[in-house]
Amino acid sequence: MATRGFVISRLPGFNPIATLVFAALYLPIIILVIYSFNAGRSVSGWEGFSLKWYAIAWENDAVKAATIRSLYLAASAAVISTFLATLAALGTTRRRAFGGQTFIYVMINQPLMVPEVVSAVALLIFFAMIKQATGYAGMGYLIAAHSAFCIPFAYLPIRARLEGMDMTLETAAADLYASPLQAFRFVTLPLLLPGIIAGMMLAFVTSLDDVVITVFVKSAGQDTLPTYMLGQIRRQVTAEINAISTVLLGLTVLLLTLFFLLTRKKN
Amino acid sequence: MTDSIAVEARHVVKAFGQGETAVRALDDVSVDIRKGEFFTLLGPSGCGKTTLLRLIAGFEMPSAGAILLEGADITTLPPNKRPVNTVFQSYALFPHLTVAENVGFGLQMLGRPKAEVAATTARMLALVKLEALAGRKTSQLSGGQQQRVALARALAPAPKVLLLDEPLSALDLKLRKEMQIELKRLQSETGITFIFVTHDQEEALTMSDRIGVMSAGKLQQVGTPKDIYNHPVNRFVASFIGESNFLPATREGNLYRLDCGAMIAAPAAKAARVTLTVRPEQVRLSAVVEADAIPATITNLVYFGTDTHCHLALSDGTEVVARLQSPATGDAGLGLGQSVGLRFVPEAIQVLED
Repeated sequence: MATRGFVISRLPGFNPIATLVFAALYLPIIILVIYSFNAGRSVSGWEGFSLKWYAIAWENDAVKAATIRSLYLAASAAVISTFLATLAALGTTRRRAFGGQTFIYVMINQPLMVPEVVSAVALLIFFAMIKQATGYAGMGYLIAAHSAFCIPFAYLPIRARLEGMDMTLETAAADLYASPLQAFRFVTLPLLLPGIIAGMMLAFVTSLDDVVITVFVKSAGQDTLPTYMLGQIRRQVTAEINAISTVLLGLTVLLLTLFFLLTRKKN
Repeated sequence: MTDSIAVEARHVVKAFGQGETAVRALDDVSVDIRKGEFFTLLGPSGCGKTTLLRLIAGFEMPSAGAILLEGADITTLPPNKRPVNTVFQSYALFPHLTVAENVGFGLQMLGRPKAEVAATTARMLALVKLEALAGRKTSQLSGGQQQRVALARALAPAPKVLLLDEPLSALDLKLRKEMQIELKRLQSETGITFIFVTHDQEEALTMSDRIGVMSAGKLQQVGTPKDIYNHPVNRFVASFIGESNFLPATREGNLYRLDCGAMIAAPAAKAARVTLTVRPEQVRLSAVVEADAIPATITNLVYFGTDTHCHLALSDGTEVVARLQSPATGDAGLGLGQSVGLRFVPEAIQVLED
């Protein structure tokens, strides 16, 4: 069945270019990971294998606090944005087409299109007004901001899952005496669950490594792991940053692998 | 009398769209479906048969008219409040549940005790001979098995009426024949009223107690298979169910004059200009053209195995098809271009006035 037509891998220079691109993508990361195991202070000279930077990072209270804050923020944002995205996905697929549907679709995905720095400045000004009026300066602002920009990341896989679902199943549930709530609880939700979990993981990862909006919105003493690292690098560069980055990388790869497996299993 | 009626549709209209572009899927349909009968809605695709089924199930609301279930008005009741279950064309089995969980779903939603759900599920699986597959996921089943699960699932809550939306159309011919017999067995064993939708006239004739023939959103005729086949009320019914010859004729006293000049006796009609219809198997041929026979010429012979279709032209060009048992053609020595005498079995002639 293979069509013997145009095959891109036969073009001259395909292999060198592909190799170059992959090298550009992954070589810096590989070097970062290798140097996180360096025994010396320097990030450019190899002085032998050691786990000491992991130990130093582990002992660092600022890192600990930032990590806990990051996980707390990412988890909150993931749960809130996924909940809202699920409602939005149900609202845009489980009803007859309506006027302005495309507009709504664009509105939901707004954070993917508006430059992040614009959103960040807007949020800074908006939250400053609220802060002045209420005096509240807690984590609420960061959670609200992260939840908002995570919505499209949670929305897309959930919507894809819903669109691939046979709507006759919900009709069948109603026919078999399920109330609308029961039909959702026993048929729609279980079938939608892989999409919801995938959406939540994407939202979690997106929130976890956000810098721009966080830097603008955070109050004093609200450093997340990425903003803490940014602050550290400005002062002095040690392999401790490499160690933290490697852990963060490991966590992200793990979540994305899970996401990939979950979305693939459906077919 | 009304005690024996399971479902009644009263002047039901269903229009899709609005204004001038609105399509009337159902146009003033009234029908009584009796308790315990196997009732088939038969018609070509787009005739409104599935729409009527969906209105009875409650998936759609009629634009006008009423639907009654055992005398009670259910027109505006949502599907989950109607003691009516559906077997879907696509089966619509829940992919995340096992066979047994699928079958027990309706009872579970009704809040029946667990023991009852389990017992009924087991009984239903036995009824459709799927006990061995109770723990399987539905995606691991063949088309015929999925069909049986869909049936068991719809029968488990013991509905007053079972609706079947072309449930056999996805099966191959052999399996379809088996399931036809199976469905009849299930219907007589459970005593539940079945409303079956199909576009397959043979399926309708072999399975139904009564058939409602639909076309263009209207119910054309309701009757037993024999009624419908032997006494079609109009041209659509005569041509949709089985094959028919249509002969334009003019009434002259008690007789009818065909356009070729021959006189034929047939039941009385009001209109002067009518169409006579005769089934191909009710046409008799003879090699010798007798005085009372209609002269015709053989234009084509099509061999079908058990029988042969003999296409004939009358003197005015009207085409008539005769179905002859295969040996008869050879015996009578019929050949192309030959002149033959043609007769219709007198009681088989129907008069259509449309």
